[in-house]
Amino acid sequence: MKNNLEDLICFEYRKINYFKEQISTCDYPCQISFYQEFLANEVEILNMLLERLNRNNSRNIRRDFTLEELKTYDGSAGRPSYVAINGVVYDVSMTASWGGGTHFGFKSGQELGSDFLNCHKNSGDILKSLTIVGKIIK
Amino acid sequence: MSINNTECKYSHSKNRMAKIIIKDSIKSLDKKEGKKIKLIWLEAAGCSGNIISLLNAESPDLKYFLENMVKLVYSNSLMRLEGEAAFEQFMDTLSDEYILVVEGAVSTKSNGMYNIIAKYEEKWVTGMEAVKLAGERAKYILAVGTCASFGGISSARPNPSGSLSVKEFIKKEVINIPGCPANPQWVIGTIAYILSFGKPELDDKGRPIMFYGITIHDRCTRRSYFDKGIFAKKLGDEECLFKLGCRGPVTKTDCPIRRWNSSINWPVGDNSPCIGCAQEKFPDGMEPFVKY
Repeated sequence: MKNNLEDLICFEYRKINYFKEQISTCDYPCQISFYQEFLANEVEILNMLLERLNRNNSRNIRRDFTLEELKTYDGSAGRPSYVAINGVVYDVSMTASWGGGTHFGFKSGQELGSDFLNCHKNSGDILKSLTIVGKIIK
Repeated sequence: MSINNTECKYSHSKNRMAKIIIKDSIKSLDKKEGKKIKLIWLEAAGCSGNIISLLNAESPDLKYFLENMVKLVYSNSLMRLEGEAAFEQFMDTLSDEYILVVEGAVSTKSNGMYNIIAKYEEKWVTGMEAVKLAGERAKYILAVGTCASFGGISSARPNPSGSLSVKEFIKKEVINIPGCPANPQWVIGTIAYILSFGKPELDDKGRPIMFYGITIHDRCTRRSYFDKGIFAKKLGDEECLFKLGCRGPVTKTDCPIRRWNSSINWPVGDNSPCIGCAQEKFPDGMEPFVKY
């Protein structure tokens, strides 16, 4: 089983190399187009895996945000939705109650610490379930 | 024990179960014939959309509802009498046993004068007064629609008419059937349950669990797109509408399986995000309805 994303990507590279070799040694156009079709398919899979790897990595890296920078992460035009709670920036892009980066009249891309504490009694549990992406700097 | 030899003991009865339940329900409703309970349908501060939605009922339809289930004694939209005579029928019913259905919120500002529903003995009768009168003696109170259940559009910011939900106003137990409008099957289904067994099981917001038990997101036909992170980019796309501001994850109804207009379709099935019309924070808390 290749559960690891890096392993999957290595495997994909090996497949692509194999198809390239086959194409270079083929004599007939129909053989070449046969392998080219496989190759195109594998390249597409590789791109998808690389994109996923990038996404995972960027989530692991914590960075500093100014409040101005945070404003751009409001979930519009395919951008992620980030919300700051008392200076810590959380990713709510995939939190089900944050459809379109909005949540019961609140918009992502801003500091919502006091509103959060007003509305949620079990605040600790909620924060634990969210991914931290960084912190706010002044 | 091999798997091939095991047969579900209930598979035979399962095939007949629906039919048995339907027959039982009809029997229990038919028994009430002759002594049908009276029903008052008050249209308070709202758009009267719920009574229109009720006209669209099917299985059972409105005809069955009126002939076999309840005796509708008062309804602004459906009753034959008009003017003072109509309201007299309302007053006469108060001494009897009846179910009260309220649609629309209760407007309380200026002593309820924002919502006048009748003129009786040369005096204006406000919706607030009528809800209070009928609510005090009703056997069951049903708040149909989001305005009656939670204030809804009538009490949206800045709430110029001082509208309240029926429960906030009357401070008695109210069965809430939110939705904008409420699906006719939620209304008739709840009343059928009351006639057959009494009060249905309610959740902490007073909604019958049989219709409002789990969120739209839980049963959404596009749930697999959400789980895989595949999202619609614009209205009309066929993927998960979450990124466009879908309120399915916070709204509890059975829309995905019950659907609307004779079960033909429902908002998400028509590529439009759920706007959370049955949610208690609708509409202020559900905005924006679409986000790009």
